[in-house]
Amino acid sequence: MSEHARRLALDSFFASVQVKALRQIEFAVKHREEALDILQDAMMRLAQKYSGQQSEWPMLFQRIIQNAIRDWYRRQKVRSIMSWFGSSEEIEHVVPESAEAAPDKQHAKMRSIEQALQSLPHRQQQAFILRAWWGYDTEEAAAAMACSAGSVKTHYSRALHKLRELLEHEWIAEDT
Amino acid sequence: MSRQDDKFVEAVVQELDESSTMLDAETQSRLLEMRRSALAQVPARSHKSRRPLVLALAGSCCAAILSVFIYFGSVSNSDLEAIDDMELLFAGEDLEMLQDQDLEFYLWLETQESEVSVEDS
Repeated sequence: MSEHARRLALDSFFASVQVKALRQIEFAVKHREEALDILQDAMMRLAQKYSGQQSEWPMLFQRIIQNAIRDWYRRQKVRSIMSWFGSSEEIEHVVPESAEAAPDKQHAKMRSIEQALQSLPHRQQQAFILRAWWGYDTEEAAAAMACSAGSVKTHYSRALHKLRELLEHEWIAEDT
Repeated sequence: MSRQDDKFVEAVVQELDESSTMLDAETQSRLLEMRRSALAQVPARSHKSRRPLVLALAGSCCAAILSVFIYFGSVSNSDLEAIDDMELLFAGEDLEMLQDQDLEFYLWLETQESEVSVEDS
């Protein structure tokens, strides 16, 4: 494959996954700007190191994203410990913009999904997003999350249970 | 997973897909910019495949220069002395030479050589 063709293929790969990836990261970090920064780094890393491995781009990209989210959580933990010791720096959580503007019923439903997803523990949230939204099977999700298939099954099952608990009740209440 | 679970997941995924189509223009232009920056990071094609060609060319050049030297017989005595000097310089020096008794020997050798050269002249 020529260099030009490789760049075009990578560009179309990024274009096909960028929005979903951005939303996925946004659910995890709860902040649009932070999510954009993480996505930018992930794109750059994939382009810089793995541009020659086209067949593996989806898995590699997801693995990079998962690592970046985990690093972000670690940094947040350190920051929260620092703030506990008296630092003035505080963690800011901002609801995604799409959820802020929620004038109608459809938007309200979306907002409730976003809030429910954000309320899940990180691993459960990512297991659900990978399995349900990205359509990964258990093994693929396990590879992306760097854990066992058994863990993915457990996280997914708990996430599903929790989401049903949170959303079905709300959706029924909205419909009545 | 039960059938109810499937239906629930389907409903959630549908909402998520729909929400992904409602991205604001500013974020979309940011994403385009990010893609461009990322593509600029793609390393240029490796030059490994050209390496044998470069080596072959370099080898041919060296061989050509050497054959010109040999053909025209331009390797003079002074050049050969220079090669000898280089050999001496690159040879590992024996540190024992620096000991006192050896120094006396080398001083004696030098006087002998200078006497021989005076007699020759």
